[in-house]
Amino acid sequence: MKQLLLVLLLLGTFAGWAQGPAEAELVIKDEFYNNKPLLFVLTDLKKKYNVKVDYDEELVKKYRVSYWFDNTKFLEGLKGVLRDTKELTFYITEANTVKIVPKNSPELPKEARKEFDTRYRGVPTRADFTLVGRIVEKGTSENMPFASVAVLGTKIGAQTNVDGYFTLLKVPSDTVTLLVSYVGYKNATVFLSPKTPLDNFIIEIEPGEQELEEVMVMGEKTEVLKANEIVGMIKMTPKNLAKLPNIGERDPFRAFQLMPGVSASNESSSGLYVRGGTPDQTLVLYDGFTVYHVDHLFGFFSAFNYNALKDIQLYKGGFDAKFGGRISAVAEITGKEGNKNKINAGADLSLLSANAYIETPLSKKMTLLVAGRRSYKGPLYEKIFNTFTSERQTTVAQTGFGRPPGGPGGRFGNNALQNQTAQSYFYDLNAKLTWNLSKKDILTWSLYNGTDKMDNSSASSFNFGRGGDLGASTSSNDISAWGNLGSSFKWSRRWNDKLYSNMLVSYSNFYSNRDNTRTVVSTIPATDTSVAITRKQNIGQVETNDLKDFTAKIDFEYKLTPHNQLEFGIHSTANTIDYQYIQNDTVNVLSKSDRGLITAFYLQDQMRLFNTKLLLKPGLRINHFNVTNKLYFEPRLSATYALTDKIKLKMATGRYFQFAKQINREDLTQGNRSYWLLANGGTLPITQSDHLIVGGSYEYKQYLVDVEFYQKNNTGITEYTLRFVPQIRQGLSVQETFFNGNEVVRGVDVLVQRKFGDFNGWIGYTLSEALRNVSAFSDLPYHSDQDVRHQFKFIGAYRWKNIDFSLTQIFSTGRPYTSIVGAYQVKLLDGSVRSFTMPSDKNATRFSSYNRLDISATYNARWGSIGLSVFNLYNRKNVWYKRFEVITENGESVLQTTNVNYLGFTPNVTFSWKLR
Amino acid sequence: MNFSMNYIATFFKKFQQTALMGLLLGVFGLASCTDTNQVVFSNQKPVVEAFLAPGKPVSLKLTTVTSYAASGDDADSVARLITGQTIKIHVSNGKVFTLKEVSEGMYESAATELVTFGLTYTLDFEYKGLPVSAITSIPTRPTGFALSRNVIYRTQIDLSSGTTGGFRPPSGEDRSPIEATWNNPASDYHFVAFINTETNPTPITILPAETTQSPFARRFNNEPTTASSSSIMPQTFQYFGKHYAVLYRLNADYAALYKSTGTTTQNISTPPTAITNGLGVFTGVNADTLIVNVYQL
Repeated sequence: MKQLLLVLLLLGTFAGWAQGPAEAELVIKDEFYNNKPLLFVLTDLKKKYNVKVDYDEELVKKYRVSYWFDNTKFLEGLKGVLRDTKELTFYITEANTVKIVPKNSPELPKEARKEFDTRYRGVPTRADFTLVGRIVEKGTSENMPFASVAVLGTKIGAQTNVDGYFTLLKVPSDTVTLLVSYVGYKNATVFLSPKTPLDNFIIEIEPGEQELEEVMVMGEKTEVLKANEIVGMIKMTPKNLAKLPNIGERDPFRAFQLMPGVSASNESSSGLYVRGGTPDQTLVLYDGFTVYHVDHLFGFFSAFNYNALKDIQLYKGGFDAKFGGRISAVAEITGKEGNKNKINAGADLSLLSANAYIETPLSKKMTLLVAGRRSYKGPLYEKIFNTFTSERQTTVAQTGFGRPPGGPGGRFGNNALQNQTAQSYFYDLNAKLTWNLSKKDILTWSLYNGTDKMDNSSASSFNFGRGGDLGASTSSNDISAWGNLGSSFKWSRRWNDKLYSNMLVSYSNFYSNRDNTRTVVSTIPATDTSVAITRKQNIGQVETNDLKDFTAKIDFEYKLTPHNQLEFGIHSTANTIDYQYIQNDTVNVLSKSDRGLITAFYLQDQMRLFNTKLLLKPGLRINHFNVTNKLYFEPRLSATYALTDKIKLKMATGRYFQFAKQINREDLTQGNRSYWLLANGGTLPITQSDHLIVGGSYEYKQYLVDVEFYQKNNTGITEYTLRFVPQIRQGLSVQETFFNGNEVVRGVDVLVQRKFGDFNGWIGYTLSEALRNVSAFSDLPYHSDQDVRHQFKFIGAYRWKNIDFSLTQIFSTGRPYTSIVGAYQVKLLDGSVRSFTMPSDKNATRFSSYNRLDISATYNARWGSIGLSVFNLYNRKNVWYKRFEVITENGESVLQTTNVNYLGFTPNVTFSWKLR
Repeated sequence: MNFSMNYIATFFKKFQQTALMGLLLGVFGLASCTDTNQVVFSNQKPVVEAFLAPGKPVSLKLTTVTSYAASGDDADSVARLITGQTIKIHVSNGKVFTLKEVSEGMYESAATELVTFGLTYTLDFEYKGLPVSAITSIPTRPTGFALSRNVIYRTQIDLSSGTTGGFRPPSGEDRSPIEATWNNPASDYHFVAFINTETNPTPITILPAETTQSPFARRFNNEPTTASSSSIMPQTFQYFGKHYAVLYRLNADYAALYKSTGTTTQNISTPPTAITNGLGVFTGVNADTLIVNVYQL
């Protein structure tokens, strides 16, 4: 009875136990009204199609409308007709008839219905059957992955898989009601009837907040983010990103940084620092292939274009046996397939970049989506670029290669010419081709390509003498380029109602090249006794990293009973990673060429016990790593227990191994030093992490309170440094630059969310500690670079008419750093004196606290939107890093400390246009 | 069955309490103190400066680190010479040199205790309770050192009238570089330094009387290289007269001193040193010398 009441409330409907009226199914093929009186249109429709519409003749008399019914559903068309009047609307009465009223009519119920009640009231004809179907987006027919489907009034429920399919076993009768929910979309209530197909039943769901001109308030609102369902998991639909403040690009990874447990104070990285972990410890899967580096433009943006994304899930820890190879978190991204019904296109233009997409059906069974974006040298790009490069440029100038130390400056030239050819940009491209081969098979091909290039090269020449025949020319290269190319080909097959498989082959390549060299060409002209000599010399560093990943996967889902599902599969990844660091053309400082093959098998059982109150997921993943030729066992367990309707308890534990690691060191004077290497089990150990997460959530009306405690014990973590390296000639051995140790991360994440309503948002708080113990650095443990003590986030969104306002406020404890405590000088052999600085103990000091307020307003219209947003509204000077300079005067040395800050007050405008 | 369900329900209720307790304890656990690295105000490491050349006694200079700490510090904001240390050098042939303090902060071995090529030398003393040590070997003498010429003609440039900005180099000057070459089959580190030996040398450029520029250095050199040649532009010479051209053969730890050190919190590096519990340099060098004359045109 309780459930029945719930149904009634959801629908806001009572009585009228009749079956849905004929109008519900009516599609009007072709009817064109051009500037006709509304009364004429309504009577014409009544006459021709026998529809029942109730209205006040006096009211409708004064309006004229234009509308073209073109294979349009009756109610859909009526909406279009009334839209032209700007003042009228309709609702469905309790007797299931259409009533036209003014928008401000007191007659209009608060929770007015706009769809016919099509419930079947007859006797069920089928019982205890299996229902297989698909959830698709209304309008585009795009499959919706990871949506939840529940049979109201029962314990039966399922989640759609990555292709949008769901299977409900043992549905009690064909007159039940299904409730479909998906973050960012309106909940859909679907009534089954004896006519419902049991195989390939398609349910449409509608994006939230799309009905812009309608004033009616729907009972269901949609959330920007969804937490609490599974331990440590957050779910997001890119559609709702537009509601959050942004700088230049709507960025899903930046949005995740607003959740508790994901650090928001690293402006120079869009990577996910999850619960004391580093971005390389987060597995990023895009349509099944691993993306190894997610940064654009100094990390200010992530590599993911929200126009090409459909669904993102982030597991903050304790993740399923299906995922492996990383120790901290998993971000699983599903790309958009594109509109299956009609061609659609859109474009965004911000002060930073231009972004465009096109989606179209190619045939009845095939769809294509292409999205691309490129930065341009607009004011915002320049601002970010300058913030992130000015320091480097000055330092490069100070360092100055080849100038004799202690001697007079090298400015001996007259006639010096200098050409600066700085050129920098980023672009990315996403493409996805989906082919619904049959009702049981889907083939998808997905491509991602992105590149960042930053070029600060310059050329100068010095000429002497009358003819300018003598002298030297130098050209300095200062180029950083990095990017990803990834592609996957997937075949999904539904073998029968119970067995589903996914086969995937993929390729992923990440490269990062840094060329900071100077070529000096000196020419000595020919004389009577000698010929001309041209000498060429290269000074500086070249660093290259190239990673290739070939993966083959097969995953199965097998439904044993309505409450028990087995998941198993085999994953195999071949990695080739090359890294080279060359100095002055000849000295090969570090050169590594790693090859490795990781083969994994996993098995997980997902079961619901105790009247489905307990969701239990034991699992095991076994990895074989051919470099060490050993097996690595990863037992996993997660559980959720519904204590009451409102209170959930949850826990997860597991062991995780990581074989490929990124050595990430931000270094501006020497260039980008983040590169991937493969563990070898010895000098570069395989990282291991044991997770334990315990938490609970409480839901009350539109509020959610969610608390999770966690501890991670990591072994085999690696720090990279050139700190203890006296031997630069012979090239570095691995032992000299990598230092290994252990780490313990402990913390608690608290989330208080107001999920729905005109005003919604959340408060996130994280208290955590990440302690590292690397004996080479210090005897005592130290806080790791990404340690976050307190982090508080407030995110609020308010909707007023067609405008979305939002605000984000972040407070965070400053990050730890190593400072300089002293300096000394050494007199060199040639008599010159060189100064050296002496650092403090590792990470013994902290930056001042980080805080920032961002606001935005987005005007939504039928054709798109205009968004205004301001980053760092009160222009807080947050410290990125500190620069130290030793100033010596009268034999006394003073240390001058300069704070290099992150981005200050930065406004942005984004125009978005869409075809539909 | 019913019984077991009840039992399980009770279990979960109990579990719930335990979990809550656990969570609370977890919070306290987090709040409790962990022993981590603390800021060090003054550092206790001595700065060593010693170049061991064959045929010469060991000479070593000891200074303190200049402290930058703002307060509560016992160290000075200037570098001080360290006196009164007992310093020993263990030689690989079994001998032990004991260095005597010859002047404030300067320590030297006896005139008979000379550095010999082929042996290794180990520094050993105690400073503020910590053993300071370092080991080095003496490189072989460079061979095949030659200069493409040893005479240079330069015109004196007079800027005393106060001309600023650029100047035209006088015509007829020698402008082709001097090539210094040597044998280097093992790619050892070398560098060439030029040192003016005149007691009162004449500068090539006469600076304006009220210049802010300090007088030109009488020595200059290139950075250490693993190549077997180096070219020097005649314009680099700042004084007329006789110069020593010294070719040094070096150990890698000396060359490391030329590596730029980080100056931001993102790339702070421990100074390159091979000294345990100390800073600076303790390294063997070897050299060969030629002569270059700079004449006025």
